[in-house]
Amino acid sequence: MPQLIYGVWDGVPYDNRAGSTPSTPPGVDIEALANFDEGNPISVLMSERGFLVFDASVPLLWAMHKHFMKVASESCGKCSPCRTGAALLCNALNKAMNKADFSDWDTLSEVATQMRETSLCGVGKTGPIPLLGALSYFRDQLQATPSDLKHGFYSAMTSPCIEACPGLVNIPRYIDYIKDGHVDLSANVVLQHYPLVGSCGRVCVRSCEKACKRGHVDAPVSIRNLKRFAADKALASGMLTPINATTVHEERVAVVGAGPVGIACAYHLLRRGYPVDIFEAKSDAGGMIRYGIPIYRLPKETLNDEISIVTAMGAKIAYGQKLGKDFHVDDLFKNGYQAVFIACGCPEGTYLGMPGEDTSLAGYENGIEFLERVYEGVQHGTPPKLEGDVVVVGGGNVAMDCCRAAKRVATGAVHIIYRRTEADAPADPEEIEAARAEGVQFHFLCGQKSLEVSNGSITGLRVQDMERTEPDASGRRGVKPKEGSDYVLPCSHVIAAIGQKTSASMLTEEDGIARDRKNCIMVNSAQETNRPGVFAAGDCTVGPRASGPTTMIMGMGQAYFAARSIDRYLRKGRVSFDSRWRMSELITNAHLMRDDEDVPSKIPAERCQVRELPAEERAGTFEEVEQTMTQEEAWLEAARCMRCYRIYSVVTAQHVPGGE
Amino acid sequence: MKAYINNREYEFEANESILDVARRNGIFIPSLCRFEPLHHKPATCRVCLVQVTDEHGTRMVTSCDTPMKEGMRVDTFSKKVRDMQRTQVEMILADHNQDCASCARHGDCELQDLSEAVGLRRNRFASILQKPAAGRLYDDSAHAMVRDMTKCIRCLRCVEVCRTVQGVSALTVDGKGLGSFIGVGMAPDHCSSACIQCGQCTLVCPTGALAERDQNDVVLDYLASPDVTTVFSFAPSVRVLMGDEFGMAPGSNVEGKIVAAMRAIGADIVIDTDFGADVTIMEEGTELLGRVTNGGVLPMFTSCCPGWINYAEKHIPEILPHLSTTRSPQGIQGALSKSYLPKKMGIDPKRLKTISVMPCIAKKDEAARPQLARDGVPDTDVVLSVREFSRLLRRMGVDFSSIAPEPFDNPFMSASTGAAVIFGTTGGVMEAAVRTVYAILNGEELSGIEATPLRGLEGVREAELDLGPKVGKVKVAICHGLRNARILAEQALRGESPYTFIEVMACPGGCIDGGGTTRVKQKYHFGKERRNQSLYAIDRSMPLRQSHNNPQVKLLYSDYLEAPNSEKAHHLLHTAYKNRKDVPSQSIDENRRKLTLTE
Repeated sequence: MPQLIYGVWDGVPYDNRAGSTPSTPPGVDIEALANFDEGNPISVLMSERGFLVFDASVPLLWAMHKHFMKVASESCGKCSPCRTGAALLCNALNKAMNKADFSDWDTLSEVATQMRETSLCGVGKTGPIPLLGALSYFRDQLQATPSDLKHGFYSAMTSPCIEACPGLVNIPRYIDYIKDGHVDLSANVVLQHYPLVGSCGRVCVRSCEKACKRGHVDAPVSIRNLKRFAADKALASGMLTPINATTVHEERVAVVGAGPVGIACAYHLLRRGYPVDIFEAKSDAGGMIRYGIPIYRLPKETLNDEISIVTAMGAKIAYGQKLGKDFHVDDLFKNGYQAVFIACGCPEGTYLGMPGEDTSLAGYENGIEFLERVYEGVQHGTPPKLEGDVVVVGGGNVAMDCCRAAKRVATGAVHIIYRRTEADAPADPEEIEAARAEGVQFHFLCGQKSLEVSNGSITGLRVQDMERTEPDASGRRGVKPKEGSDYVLPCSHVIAAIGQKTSASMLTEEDGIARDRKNCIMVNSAQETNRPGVFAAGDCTVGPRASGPTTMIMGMGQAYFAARSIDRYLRKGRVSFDSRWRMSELITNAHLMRDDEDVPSKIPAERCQVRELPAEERAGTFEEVEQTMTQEEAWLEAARCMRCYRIYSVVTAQHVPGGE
Repeated sequence: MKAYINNREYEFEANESILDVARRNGIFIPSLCRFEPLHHKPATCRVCLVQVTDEHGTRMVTSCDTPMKEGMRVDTFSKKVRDMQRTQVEMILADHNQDCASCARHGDCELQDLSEAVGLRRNRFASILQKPAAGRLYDDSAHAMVRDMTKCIRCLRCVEVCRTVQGVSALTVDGKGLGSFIGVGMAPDHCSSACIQCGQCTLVCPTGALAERDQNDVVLDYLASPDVTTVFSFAPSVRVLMGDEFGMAPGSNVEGKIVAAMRAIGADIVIDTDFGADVTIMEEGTELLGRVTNGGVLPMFTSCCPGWINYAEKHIPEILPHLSTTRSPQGIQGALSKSYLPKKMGIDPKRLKTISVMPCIAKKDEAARPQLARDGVPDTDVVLSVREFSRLLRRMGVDFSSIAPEPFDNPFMSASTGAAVIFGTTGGVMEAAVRTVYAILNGEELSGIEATPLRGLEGVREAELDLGPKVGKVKVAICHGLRNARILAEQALRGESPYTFIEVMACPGGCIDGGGTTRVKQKYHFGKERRNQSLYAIDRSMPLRQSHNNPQVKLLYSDYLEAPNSEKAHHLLHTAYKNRKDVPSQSIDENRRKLTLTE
């Protein structure tokens, strides 16, 4: 366990130099701060809350200077105290390092205080905190030191929204670029992470907005719509164009599955100079976001445009090639591919599993089948027509897609039943709202019991009321059926939207790739399978960063990481550690990021409500419902971002991969 | 709701900022980036610091973006507050080019005022960061203006005016840290950017970061050369603007003083751009009638404003066939000064240099248009804004406020009418055109000559005019500020415009609030009503109020051009436009290099 020697945390000094009973900051898991990478202990940690020293031999002044170099390099330059303060402090710290009798500590302290107390955003407000702590309590440790020390150093700037994003996209930066008038650069920030910018800007589950601190002032920044704005202005307009990626490596990589995860991985491999071929089971690319997300949420022109980024970069997509049916993993290696990336997703929907249910019954289908049928119909100009009433079962986003799509093609009423409460439903609240506005009838605390069938066709779904159980030891409340409360919801269609699964036949024993009992591929934290050269990500994987069916952004985040691992594997024969992801892990595991700090008092500014196709005009049409923000709306919305940036730095015993 | 400032109780409304409550009650808090006329408060300068005490404790906040709260106690001038305000100004000055002596805002700088307001007596950081500041951009590629980013304090007022007033959105925020500056988007330099050089940003810049290109020394070279005959001319609005520069009441008519001052500095010939304005009406009015009767492209848009021409060419080129081909008054005055005038006066045109004094800086860009030059020689050699001309007078020791007015005396190009004078304000071109078009159509003067529906300062105005039995009633529109121009242009392109003729002035208010007018600290378009009224008053006082009645205009056509829109008139007085819209496109990889991400 690392020993805290001294430090300042949340303004409180900790000094264990005298060797008395060591004290440590409450709430911080010191044990989680042992090593940064393997065999490389953390000597000093600096963050928005202070600094902690675990190795007294590291000169504190050197560490502070390193940290401030990072702060100065991240200062956006708009507000005066941060712009010039960071540069002045770098300058002064450098002088102090080189001058044994440096005496101007008071000016240094004054500038740091000015920067801390009067800066506009998180960079300036939090950047000086470690230094101010050292100046207040450990000035004796700030002594002249050689500046060319061989310690490792790694530093990352992040924010609550970035940490909430599974792709670690630098959200405040792309919002800034919109505010600054550079939609091209805004879109390009996201393009550092994945090519499907406008698609993600339409359908992302936006964990970032839940973490957004603006929510404590009025409402979270409309981050997803800003991203969509940047994509529509910069990518759809042709302002930014993809070009053929230069091939710098000979090793060919096969990507299996042209869903968002496969596309994202192919994109990162192409950027790194690998020739990539993509194998897709269906006749078109896009996977679940093509077939599973209805056109009114994601117009397929947007998706096609964004998929064409990877083909323009040089990827070839072979369609109608299903893993386990048309080819096996061995075939790929035999055909000269040096690495394989599997992202086959969970293409099969599950049924309700009610006693005696007949899945071949006309009118009974699962959500995935239904959405695919609607997609194919709309594409060919003949949307399916559902005669009579429809009942959708489920409370997630797929269930919302099903009921909203059903509302557009059904002649009768559309009901949705969910066993738990509205607050428990995993669906995006805005999706629930939209479904309600379109006339979908919600039945919460309502569970399915059995299909009512007469003469081979469905006449209704027997349902029962549920009630919430008392909270268990962990405070969680479950649900249980209310005795004798069952009744029949008359309908002629039942759509089961309660989950999806991998295709059991995609891999065989001979492939030698380990799977769990749900047939998900087991991967390690580098998205590597047990078979050398085979990597996997997305819905079909489980592992430290993967848990089966997931969100698009989570899958694309894994894809970025997998591409990086494939590159290391092909270049060095083994995958290695990623400092940026490790820093996030450290922040989470050691509980470093404060969630309770005061949000600055701001004058409220309304969150942008994008224009929508009126609810009464949506029946029968798959036209896109939400519209792109106007330029004026985007400027105003972007100005709501408070840039809650903060910088985390570690000094380590040895060099950190990707660090200094 | 109630709160306390410096221990006195004040009422306030929910969500009012501390600064607003303080200002409303006459309590001064220094600030820099905030620009009240545009409700602009980017909170970047961080100077308006106050100390607040509330249930969360005591802390320093910027008063412009912090809402006042019930029961809050605010301290605006304790020692700590004053010290931190002063340190903040030192921080601003740390990366500000302080070569004040050579600055365009010398003696007229908001940053200097601020330094005084916070009692700056030392400047501790100025020597440390000057080198990185000096590395910032200095872009003088544009004809009209210079961007000296070593003076930029990142208040973003220019970006605001460019977006919200003009809808041009050419200016962007670029770079980071000490290297941050105001850029021009994806364009390689200012000249080729989407900027239309209207200069509204120069009116709001608190320092010398954005300014007109000063061309006074070119004029001084002409004045000093024995081989040059100088022809000075000034725009209609200039006579009600120059007084501002010398402390006179806004809108004072100083026409005679300007004539005298030009002669005092050595001008050889002083003529009046009013004459060119009257000729513009003859040409443009005739062109309009031609379009109406021959089924030409309608609505026709006016073409005298160079900011609007640049906007049309760079932002909405589809509208170009709708633009009148008639040159602006400056373009006409320049062409005639180098052809008709020397012929009449018996001077070698090669000796002539034409100097045009304008309320505008886009006129500098207009003068450089290749379409307005003959054999590579521009018709207008130098354009001086009102600001530059005033500076020239100060440099040459002319005491403008005491100089005795003198009349024009040129017999060929200095006569004016009321119609020409009102060119200087929004609606004036339209009104002048109507007076002449009516007379041409009906052979008699329009009665009730003052077209009040055309007057005013609303952004878009429309009127229905009876042009007599031949043409009947037509609808016309007037707009100023390019956001409004875009609305009318797009309506015309959709084929939905009910108008026959549309007047556009790029700057809100028209020339009287042009980008070359007097800059007044913390104010924007401060004298527009007085200037507007003054121009109409001059019109009323003129013996001749219609362009076609200008005797020198009559002489021009009888002796030289034959008739409006004649072949010769077309050759000399009309122009052509070019689609200069640049749809920027870049590969993702190339664009990526411009990212200022550190990871």
